[in-house]
Amino acid sequence: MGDNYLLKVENLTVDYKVYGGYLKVLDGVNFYIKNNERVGIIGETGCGKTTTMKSILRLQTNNAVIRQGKIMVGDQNILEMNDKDFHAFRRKGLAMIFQEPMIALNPVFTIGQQIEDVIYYASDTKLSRADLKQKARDVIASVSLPDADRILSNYPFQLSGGMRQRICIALAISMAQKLLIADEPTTALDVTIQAQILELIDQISKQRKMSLILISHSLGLTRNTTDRMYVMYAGVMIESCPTKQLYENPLHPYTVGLLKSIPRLTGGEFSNGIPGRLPDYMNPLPGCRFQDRCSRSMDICRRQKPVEIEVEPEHYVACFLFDHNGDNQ
Amino acid sequence: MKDLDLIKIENVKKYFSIGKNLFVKALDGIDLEIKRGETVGLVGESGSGKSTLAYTLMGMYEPTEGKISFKNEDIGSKAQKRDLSIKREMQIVFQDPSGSLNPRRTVLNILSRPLLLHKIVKKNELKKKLIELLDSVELPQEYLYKFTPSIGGGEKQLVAIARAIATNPEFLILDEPTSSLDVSVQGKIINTLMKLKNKLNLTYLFITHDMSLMRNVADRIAIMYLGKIMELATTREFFENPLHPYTKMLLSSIPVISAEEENLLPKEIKSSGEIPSPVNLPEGCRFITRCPYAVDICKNSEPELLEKEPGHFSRCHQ
Repeated sequence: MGDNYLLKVENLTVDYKVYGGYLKVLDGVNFYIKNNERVGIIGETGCGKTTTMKSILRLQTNNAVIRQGKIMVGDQNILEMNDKDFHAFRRKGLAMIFQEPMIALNPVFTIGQQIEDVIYYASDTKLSRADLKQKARDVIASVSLPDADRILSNYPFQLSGGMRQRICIALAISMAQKLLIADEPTTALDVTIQAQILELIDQISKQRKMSLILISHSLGLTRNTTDRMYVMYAGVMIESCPTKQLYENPLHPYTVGLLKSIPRLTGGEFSNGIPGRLPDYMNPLPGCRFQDRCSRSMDICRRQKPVEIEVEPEHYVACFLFDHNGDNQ
Repeated sequence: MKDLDLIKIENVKKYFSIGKNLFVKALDGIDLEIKRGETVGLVGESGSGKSTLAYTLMGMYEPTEGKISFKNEDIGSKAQKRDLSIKREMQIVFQDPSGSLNPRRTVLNILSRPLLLHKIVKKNELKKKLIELLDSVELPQEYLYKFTPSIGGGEKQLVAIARAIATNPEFLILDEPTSSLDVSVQGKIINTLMKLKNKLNLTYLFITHDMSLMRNVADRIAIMYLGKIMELATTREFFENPLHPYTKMLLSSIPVISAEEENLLPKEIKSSGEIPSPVNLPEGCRFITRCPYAVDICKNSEPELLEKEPGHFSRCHQ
């Protein structure tokens, strides 16, 4: 493993304990992100995107059980760090922007208090009130919001959705310098505001040389903001490749189906999408998790779980259609 | 041409009172005609009044001012006062099927309701009609006995569509029918809707914020901003020759997935600012706070929706 990797997730398997058994949500997730790289993860609602991110930040709820896997940062496994070390690492290195800014912000504290708290707890030295205030103002300015003093004294409900999301970005970047995780940052927003927020995230990650994980369920959003893409389906990364290749030469039947079902501005037909639904996580079928929705599924798909195969340089697909070495008859 | 208009909306206003002399001007004078057999796309940001217009048309809100005609008959009052025969002709599909379908009723209950209420079929033919309805949205008949929480989001929306077409309506309002669904099932809903339109000669008012989708399904597109229509044109005109700065801003914000599509987007305007509150509308043109081309006249007078080119209306001084 080269030094260039910022984060490497290996074979991460996470179950949720629920009434009546375990939901086997993540089924061996592999992915990595390099320093200063911008990665997109796309997938349907419920495919495990947020579960993966929560595992990285160790924000899992109590009923989550990590069965196996490693999350490596340098030569340290996040999952094995003690709380104190991890918290120290997390507050300097990782930050997340959540989907719904109204829920991510505390409604009973002013924006100023919330930003100052983050700065206070994340800094090594004890800062004075005036310093904190000044830093908070700088952070507000860095997300292109005018009139910092007014915003700092406002409560979240006094701001619009777009402004709130900017505040969440401000909170995230106020300290973390290595990795920014944006979990569907624009789903709750309008298209015009969405374009503005994406541009802001793009700008900030470039300026500060932060790595970025952009999670989305819309293929259009990741196209201009990322270098490399992962496609996630039912707790597995089924395809990964440089962003350009994903749109021009998608390989996995799921990715192909997704791209075909999107209406284009250039007109023309779009397909009915992909029939069926995500599998039952309680009792997933053995073999490939996409088998019952796949138009090209074979016998082997029902017996064996596909592994990732490098089809082109840096283009990995977990599908037996591309496994020409194994017995795929 | 007059008899072609199925729905005619004339200067419809809907103000919601929120305090002493304070009003949310959700609809601030809408004029729109929808021709028989046409799909009109209604696009706008949240807070622009799209859904209020839909609900007002359906009679769920009483308009503060203005006139709504259906087949040249004035119907612009509350649903309770409308004739059953008019209610039968106009139906709506809501955005979120989990909210619009009762989770404690089976699909059979849900679909029987409009059929019996409007006396579309006799009791002994009910079953046959129900299967026919499910068939028209391509759902298998065992779904009749399912409760809606046990079926997927896309399938729920299909049930909602089946319910809407149960009364053999002529006019259907689709209020963002796919925006709460995943990409992989959206296509199915849209294609089913378009098939039904051809089969049953329906007229659609299609509300959405997805412009790529509009490009594919609408005949004409209307852009709404703060309770008024800013631009109205045929789909082709709309994408090839957008006139209003707000339209250009919307178009430039569309996330696309190929370079060919990117070439179609206007580049000269970048998205900036946010939609102002509909309580305190800006003086003059309502888009002035975000418009990069604003000049003095825009501050002083509100532009009219004028026909700038044949069939192409725009509300802008330039």
